[in-house]
Amino acid sequence: MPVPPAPAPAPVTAKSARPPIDRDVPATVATATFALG
Amino acid sequence: MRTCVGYTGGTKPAPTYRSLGDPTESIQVEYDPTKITYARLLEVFFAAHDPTWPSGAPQYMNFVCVADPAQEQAARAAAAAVAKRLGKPVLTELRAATTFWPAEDYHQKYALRADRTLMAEVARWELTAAEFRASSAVARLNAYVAGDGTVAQLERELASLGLSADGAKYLDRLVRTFTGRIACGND
Repeated sequence: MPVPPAPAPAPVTAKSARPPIDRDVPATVATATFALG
Repeated sequence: MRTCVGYTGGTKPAPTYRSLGDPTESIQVEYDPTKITYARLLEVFFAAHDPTWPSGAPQYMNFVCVADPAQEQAARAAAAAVAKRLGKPVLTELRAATTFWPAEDYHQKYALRADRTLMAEVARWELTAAEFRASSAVARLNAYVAGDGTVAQLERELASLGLSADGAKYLDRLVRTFTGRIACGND
C-alpha cells in the first residue's frame, strides 16, 4: 500500500503572528500606580 | 511595558464606572526597570497634569500611589523638583498604594478602540480581553493614537509592533500628523 504523503505543515495562523514586543518577557517587572483623574 | 486603567483609593470595594463610590480613576503601569526608571514615570505623571491645582471630586483626584519606601522617596523627590521648578507648592498627594481595581474592558486602550484600522490589525492577533489589556503592543498603539509618541520612537520600534505592511504605513502616517503631547522616553 502506498504511503500517503505527509500532511502539509500547519499554516501560520494569525494567533502565532503576535507582535514580537509581546513575546519579550522581562526578567523583572515593577509596578507603578498613579491616580490621574 | 503594560498599562491598565482602573480605580484605586477610597473605601468602596470592587468599584465600577457606573457605581464608583469614592475610589479614583487611575492607571497601573507594569514596566521593566532595566529599561525605564520609576523616576522617569514620575516625570511623565507630573507633566500630565497641573500638580499645583487642588484635586476635585474623588473620581478625578491626582495622587501618586507609593508601594514601598523606595517609591515614596522617589515620589517625594520628584514632587520637590516640580515645586522648585514651578515656584509653587505641589498639591498632588502621595498615598500608600491600596487595591487597584481594573476598569471595565471597554475603558481599556480607549483611544485605540476608536481607530478601526488599527483595531482590525489587533483583531488578527485574536487576543482575549485579558491579553488585549496586557499587550505591550496594544498599549503602544493606544499611545500613538492618542498623540503620545514621536516619529523617532515609532521608527525604532515599528517592526516589533506586529503590524501588516499596510498597518505600519497607516500608523507611520498617523504619528507624523501629531506633534506628540508627551514623549514617554525610550520605553
